[in-house]
Amino acid sequence: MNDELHIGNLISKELAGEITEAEWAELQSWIAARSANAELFDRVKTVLEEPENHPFREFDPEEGWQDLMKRRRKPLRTIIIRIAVAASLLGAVVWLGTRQHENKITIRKQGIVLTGPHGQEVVINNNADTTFRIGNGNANVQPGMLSFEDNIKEAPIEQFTLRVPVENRYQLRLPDGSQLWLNAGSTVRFPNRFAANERRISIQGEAYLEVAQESAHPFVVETAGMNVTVLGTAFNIRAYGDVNTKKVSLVSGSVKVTTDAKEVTLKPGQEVGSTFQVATADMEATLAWKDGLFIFRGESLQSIMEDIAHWYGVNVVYQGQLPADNRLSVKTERNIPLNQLLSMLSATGSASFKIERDRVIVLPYNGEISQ
Amino acid sequence: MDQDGFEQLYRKYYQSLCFFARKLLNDTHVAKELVQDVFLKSWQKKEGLENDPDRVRAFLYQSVKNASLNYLRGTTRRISLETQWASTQEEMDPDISNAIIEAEVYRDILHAIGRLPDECRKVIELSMSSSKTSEEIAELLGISASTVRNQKRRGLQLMRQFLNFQTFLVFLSMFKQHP
Repeated sequence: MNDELHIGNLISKELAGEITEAEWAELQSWIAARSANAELFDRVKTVLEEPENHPFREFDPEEGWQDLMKRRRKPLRTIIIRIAVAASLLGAVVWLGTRQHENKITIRKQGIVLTGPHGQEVVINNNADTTFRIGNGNANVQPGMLSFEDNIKEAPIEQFTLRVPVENRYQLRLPDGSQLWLNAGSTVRFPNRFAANERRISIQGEAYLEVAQESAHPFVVETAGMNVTVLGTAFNIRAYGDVNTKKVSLVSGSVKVTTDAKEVTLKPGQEVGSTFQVATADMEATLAWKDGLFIFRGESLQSIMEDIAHWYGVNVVYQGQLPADNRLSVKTERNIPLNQLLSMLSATGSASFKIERDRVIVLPYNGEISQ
Repeated sequence: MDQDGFEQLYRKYYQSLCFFARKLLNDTHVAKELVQDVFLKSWQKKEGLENDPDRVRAFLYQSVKNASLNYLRGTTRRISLETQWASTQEEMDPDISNAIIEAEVYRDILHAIGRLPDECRKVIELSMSSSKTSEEIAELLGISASTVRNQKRRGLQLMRQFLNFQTFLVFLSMFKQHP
């Protein structure tokens, strides 16, 4: 560390024109040592010439201090996590998620299961690298991903189902080359090849889709009570659909959301829920699961608990009176054990939690951090 | 360290640590958040904030470095503050070294701006914080655009001198004699 501080000091002296000969010799040998050093030296000289471009201008100490004082008064709410930037995509991208409302989550931790057209079930090992025959085609299993070999155009259309258990996610390559990521406790039904007129799949749960660009063949995603049609070429869509929070969010491109009664076309950055009111979406939070994260920004405890219930496959029970409007922000990796996540939530002073087998009981905050 | 001391320390290093973290992380938002966490934890635990300013500075850079590398590794594993301190003597990756060097030089430059005579400083600070043109700054300060440009030029000349404390003292005495 002292070396760095020393070199920094020499550079400042040189900029001030106050460097001694011996110091200048030392600095020169440092500059000559690596091209990165020479570039650094040139860069800082430019900043001295044009202080309006000073790189610190982006960091307002006053704002930072106010923010810090706010955070000091509360327990630490945010855990810094890796936020992966969504990859830029070639084809159309659809992100679609619906949550089938079930009082009891039936999908337990029993592995990723592919069901064939005749009900035959294959449990897929997440780390396997293998090919097997199912129906009329071959399925390739690679770590984290399943794909179907290009089937002959004339082959009869067969329907498959892929199911992902709790605390898991898995990727599927559809026959047209579209990619689909399936979140925990979710199921996708898809054919070995798409029909001539349109591409249609159905989803229960949550999924992220990158739809291959084929404008002649619209891509339709069916969910309980809501269909999503990919309209243009370059899309990102995202949808949620719990009993309370069913939602389709579009990252870019264009997508049409329809129910029996209503229809809306979304613009990038917008989302629509079951009330069909178009709103601005928080894409980072919405897409977080795909990168293995929980990101909640100013969300109600109830909505956070819904996500927790789906991911860990637990039931949530509320006991006692909770603060009415309690908004929380949490960021963490999804592979965090349930009890740790609950401790984080209780550390905010919003509620206390008890875990009983596959139930999480939410209690008014009693000063105890859940174990 | 009391709160005033902590605030001084914060204001002294907040920007350079943010710059340093962003160099490592390539993400302004995360860099800020991470620096806040380092300050908050140090303050809450009263660790690393001893009286030797050089050690405090080294401790802060080291903490931000460790937090950034942990973040990049995607781990939430925490290195204890003691370990962080012990590792300050280790050899560092040259890119990380350069990021510290650059942050420190920019800190010196900013410091030099802060020492400029008022009117010079205001002009330069305004053009820094808001990318305003000379005309806009002139309007804001109620002076002419040519004065703004002159002050800027004068500020740039003076800053070179202010980068060095000795020169600064000499200049101050001159300035007092010939205002």
